[in-house]
Amino acid sequence: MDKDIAIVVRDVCKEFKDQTVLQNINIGFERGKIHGVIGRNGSGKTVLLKCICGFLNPTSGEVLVNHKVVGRDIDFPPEIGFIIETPGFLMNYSGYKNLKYLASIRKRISDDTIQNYISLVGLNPKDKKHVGKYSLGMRQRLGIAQAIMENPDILILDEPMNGLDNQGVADMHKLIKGLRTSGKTILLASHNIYDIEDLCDTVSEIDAGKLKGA
Amino acid sequence: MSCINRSLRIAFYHFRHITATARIPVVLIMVALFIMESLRAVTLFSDAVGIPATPFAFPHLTNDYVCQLIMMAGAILLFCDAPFEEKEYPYMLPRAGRLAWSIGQVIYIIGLALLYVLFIFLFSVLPLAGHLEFAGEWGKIWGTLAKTNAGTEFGVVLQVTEYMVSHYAALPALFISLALEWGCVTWLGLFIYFSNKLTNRPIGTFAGAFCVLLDICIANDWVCWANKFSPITLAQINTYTGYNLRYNITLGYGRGFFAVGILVLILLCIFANYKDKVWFGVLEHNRKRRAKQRMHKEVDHG
Repeated sequence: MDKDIAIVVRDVCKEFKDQTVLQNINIGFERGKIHGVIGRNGSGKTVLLKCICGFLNPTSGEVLVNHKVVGRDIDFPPEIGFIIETPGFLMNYSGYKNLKYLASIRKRISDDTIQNYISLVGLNPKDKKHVGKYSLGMRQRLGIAQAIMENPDILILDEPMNGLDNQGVADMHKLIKGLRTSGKTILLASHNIYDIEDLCDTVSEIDAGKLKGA
Repeated sequence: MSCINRSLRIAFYHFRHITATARIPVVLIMVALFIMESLRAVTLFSDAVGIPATPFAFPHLTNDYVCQLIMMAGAILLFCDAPFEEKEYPYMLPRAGRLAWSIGQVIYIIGLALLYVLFIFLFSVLPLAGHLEFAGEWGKIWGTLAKTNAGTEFGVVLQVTEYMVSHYAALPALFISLALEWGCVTWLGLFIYFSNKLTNRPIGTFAGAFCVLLDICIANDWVCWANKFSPITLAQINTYTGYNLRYNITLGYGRGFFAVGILVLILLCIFANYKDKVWFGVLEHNRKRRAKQRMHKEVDHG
């Protein structure tokens, strides 16, 4: 097996009752690059990303992350940080407190590190404002900080630019490019062709659960 | 150790979530108002006779099937959103791991049940403030209400039974009631969690509501042996008397029912978190077996 492939998706099919959402998906994602996954609403992008993260088990086939089969060798790949769909937080706590509570589960990082990552996504770590009062863009930034704060090797970002203004999108592009430079493997699902063209080294299209081309 | 620490953090995270939604505070306020209203007549009686009451209303509240219905309906509402997979869930589960996540959920249910029972106890004492005397026995108010019909003149609808007052000292009755009530709320919470998680539907919430209604059916002269399987009925000290003893429904049986039931439900709740993995393993096994059979057939034909 190629050591430079971080994620291997092999013959993955996913069915929900009578509906086939993914059909024989075969793809490998090379380490240290940004890989775009595009497709229309309901094409199966998010289901594929959830299979990679370990939230869904494929009906057949397997997903390997760093050579370990997700769902068999490991429940959830520990080296993955992700943001899938709208990030959820405790609405009556500040952004910093939310990240602190999440980080306290693994206890891998210090409070200073959390504050640094909050600053990195353009939020104020000292801000006492509750997340419930954040705009959608601010919550999205906090979601990205949550994904990257424990310095994972692989990042899975599903529509990370949702709700961001132009400046926010520019900031995020800069951040994501910086993460690639530091050697991270990034999977980016987006509808926005500008995001894909500007950021991605490879692009895969999913249409009606089938991989169209790479 | 690390797994226990992570489980505790998951449980604390859920406790922080309590104040994020209006549901639980509203349930607590409604239950508190109901208890205060139920005890208002007792304070009127205490005022009229000029004798303070001892703080032992809790065992009587849990023995009154209408009060028990309201308090257990509150418990159902506490746990109706089980398996507590809010929007934060995807960000917590991979960090904690499946085992720590499921143990954390169980700790949360047991802890929330304890807090709920202590809350009920607190509100069984607070309405009597100003009419309280602290003593280790039932006192004249509860004794009179149990042994005479004086309460009816003051509109006391709470069932204060002679059996309780004559068979149990006040403090043991309080502690037994607290333990049984805690066991019952925990049993309900775990049962709802397990059923909801296993079916991915609110089946457990409906089944829990059925358990609450079962107690009323039994209280209205339904079959006696059904007491054996009704957790809400088994949480009432008065159940362990009269005809029920013929069916071996004793306090020891009640304790055993909750102890064994809770232990089994804890294991089932943890198992329910692995159901996808188990199912995935079964599919994988079948696939391998079919592939082997195909290969054998090909070899045979060859």
